[in-house]
Amino acid sequence: MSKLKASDPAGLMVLIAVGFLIIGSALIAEAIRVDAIVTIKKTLYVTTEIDDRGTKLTSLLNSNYDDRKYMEVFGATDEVPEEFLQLLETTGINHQLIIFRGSDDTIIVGAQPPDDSKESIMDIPLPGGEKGRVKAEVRLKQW
Amino acid sequence: MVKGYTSPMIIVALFVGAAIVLTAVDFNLPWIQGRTYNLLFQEKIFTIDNALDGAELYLETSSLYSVYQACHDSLKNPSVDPLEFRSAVSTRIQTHMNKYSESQFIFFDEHAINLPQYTVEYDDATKTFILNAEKIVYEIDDSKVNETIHLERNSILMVPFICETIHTKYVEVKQKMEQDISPLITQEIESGWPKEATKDPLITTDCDAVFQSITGKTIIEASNEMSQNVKTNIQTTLPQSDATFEIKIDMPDVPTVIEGKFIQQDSTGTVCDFTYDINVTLTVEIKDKTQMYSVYENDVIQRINPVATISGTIKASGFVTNELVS
Repeated sequence: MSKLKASDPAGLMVLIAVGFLIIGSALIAEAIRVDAIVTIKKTLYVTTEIDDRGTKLTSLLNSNYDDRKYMEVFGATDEVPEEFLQLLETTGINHQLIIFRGSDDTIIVGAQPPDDSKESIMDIPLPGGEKGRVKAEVRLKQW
Repeated sequence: MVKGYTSPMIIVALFVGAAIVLTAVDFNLPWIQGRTYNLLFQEKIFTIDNALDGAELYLETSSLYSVYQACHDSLKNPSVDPLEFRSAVSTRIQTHMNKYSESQFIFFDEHAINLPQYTVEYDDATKTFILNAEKIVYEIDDSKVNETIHLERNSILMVPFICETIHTKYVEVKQKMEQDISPLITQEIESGWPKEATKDPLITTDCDAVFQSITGKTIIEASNEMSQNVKTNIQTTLPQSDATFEIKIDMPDVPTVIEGKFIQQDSTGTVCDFTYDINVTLTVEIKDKTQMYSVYENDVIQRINPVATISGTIKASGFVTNELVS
């Protein structure tokens, strides 16, 4: 039996064929989802982190107070209802909201955020067709 | 050295292996980097979906502010025709709403969503304004995941016609003012006071004396009494406050001028003509106590009750002429 050598064209062809066999196997494995369990675990991780940044802020401002949503409350009044402060506590995430309604019209809600907090900014409407912003200082939950 | 393989063969094999790995990376295979890309892709979709939630909340709140401001502005000197009033409110809602949506909604600084322009129509069945929009479209190309994310929401908003009831009350009060106040003044003038060609046995050229002889009051006393009577009757005639509306009538003064004109005198007495001018200037403020809204007025944001105001002057002269000047 003759020896296969890399320098031989036939040997090289065998190696390339083995390579394509590996790639093909990977594609087939992805197609039939043999890694489903791993995917679920990693998706959960990502979902939780993003939830802390986006969903919480949106749902806080979407919560009702006295037949109004908090986005409306903060856009038009200086009220900081006790219920909202409790809501901040129950989110389990350290938030501080700073509502900007103009250069000299700012409301600060919630406790001083920690140094490692991240800043999230979202537009809010104001009466009269104007636009303000809510800046949320958010400390992400450790995972 | 592995038996049967030469050094050049192993080197070539290593090159081929590296080529396979690089090819796998380039093909985005899940076991190499595909998992990371997959997570990045999911992360983007999740955040953008949150951004759309935020945009919906922004538009929903904007629609409420729009109807508040439209009602507030339209209740200043509104038409008494309900259809005209509704049309004015509808036009203003559309103007305000499109002011909110003319610029992008910014979410977390990195996501800017184009907001739609709206048209407004009224639905009689539900008594609401319906704001019809183009679709919200959010699209992002990401070179890392080599994909385009395209998310959109259908955004139809509905806002209640919150100033309909106060407008109905406004029309009721204004019609009362126009229809009932002038007759009240005329009735006061004609109720027992001296009129044209009034004759009194007193022989004088002074009609004030004639007036006092007939009524037992000086012209000034009579003027004050008439003013007070008109004021009281107007206050009891106009609609009163109730559980829904607080109605304030501001009527600071009701000037009454009585003039006596000497006509003739003989041995049996004196004849005078007496004419009357009464001007009623009043402001009626109608406040809807059941609602409050936030509006922009005089360069500040205010949270107030819906208010409609009617100002006018009702005049009665002599015995016949009455007019309401708004």
